[in-house]
Amino acid sequence: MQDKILTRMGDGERLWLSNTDLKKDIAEGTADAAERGNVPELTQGEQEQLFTIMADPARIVSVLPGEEVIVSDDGCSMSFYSGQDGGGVGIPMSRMQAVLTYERACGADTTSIGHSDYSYKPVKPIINFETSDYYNISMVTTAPLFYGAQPNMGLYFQPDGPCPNPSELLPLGEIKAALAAQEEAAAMLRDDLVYVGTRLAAIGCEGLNFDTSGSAGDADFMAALEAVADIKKAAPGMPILMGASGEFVIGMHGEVEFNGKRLAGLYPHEQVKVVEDAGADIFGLAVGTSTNRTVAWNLARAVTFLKATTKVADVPVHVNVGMGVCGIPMMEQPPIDSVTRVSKALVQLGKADGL
Amino acid sequence: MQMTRKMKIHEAKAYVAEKLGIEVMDLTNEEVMRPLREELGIGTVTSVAGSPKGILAKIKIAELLDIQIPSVDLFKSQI
Repeated sequence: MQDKILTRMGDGERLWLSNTDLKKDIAEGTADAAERGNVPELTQGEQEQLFTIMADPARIVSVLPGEEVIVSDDGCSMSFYSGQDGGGVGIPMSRMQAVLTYERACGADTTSIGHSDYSYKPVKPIINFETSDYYNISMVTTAPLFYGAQPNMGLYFQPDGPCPNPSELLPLGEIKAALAAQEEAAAMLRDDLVYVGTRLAAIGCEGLNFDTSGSAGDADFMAALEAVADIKKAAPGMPILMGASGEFVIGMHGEVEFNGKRLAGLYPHEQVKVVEDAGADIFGLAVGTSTNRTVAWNLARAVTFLKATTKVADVPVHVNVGMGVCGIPMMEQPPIDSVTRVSKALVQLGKADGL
Repeated sequence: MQMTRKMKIHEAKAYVAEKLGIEVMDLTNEEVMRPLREELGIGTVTSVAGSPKGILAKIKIAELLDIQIPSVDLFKSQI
């Protein structure tokens, strides 16, 4: 075993760590997740296994043959033609060309399309364009084709939307008005999600992705859950992937519930149960990466949350491994050494069903 | 299988392998899957002229795995 291990910080900066320091970061990371989520720490054996993955001298690591999982995606093909802020490489090509290139040249397990803004609200006025494009592309793809976007309740607040902005009301002490604004926005969001979802279902949508649900807090998460339940009643045959936006649901409202369960403060192993109750088919787990801690610390946290989640989940759990999520460094071009170590650990130790 | 039956990864792999008549390990074995995919007409990575791809491959996948794919159901309803 080498004395020093080449690894990275959560912002991608390379550094050499001693074996002792790397093991210490793993222990501290799992302890932090266990304390916050009230879930078990990784066992000593699992911490050793995570250390071995992190200490592998090879640039790229992988799971063993037979341990492979599938990769679902949230707008990956958009990265072919979009720009820097979308993680895109700016190739002038159509949506259909991008999807087919992703499917056939990259061997993608799933493909997807979505609005460039990647929120559901702006899809509503152009739903005919989106359903037309979706239908055309679904006729030529072989892998499952998702339609994806974020619920993104923030777009319903002034100045972007019609509802008073709770971020302005709360500092003024206008608590009741801030709560009412979130409830009003959540109702609008739910209606829009159901509208877009049922329109897509009508043209044979193979899968709907509610990506980054709860980004504006618990009322955002509630609206997405209610919309999943509504869409499942209207179109039970259309699979829905509901992904979270962080390791706990932020209590911007604090009192909203789904089926009697208070949503504020739910950790992934609790999030998955309400997502199941709503009727979603796959749960997307997300844990934020801290940029001023190492990948080992962040990954130990993510694996700890994931292990607790897959243990209780009745639906498949796919782990969000985009930039700055679940141990992937928060940077524009995530390095392959970190990406593969994170992926391997989440599958082998966290028992992920997909990424 | 995860999307249509909510199967966990190991259950999903076992189901698909049984339907294909192969070992689970061979699901990711290109030497087995490449000719099998062409034989079953469920789409290949490299393009074979005249071989099913797109909606036709999805129709065959739905039949093979005994699952419902919404786009396939819509397409069939329009034939």
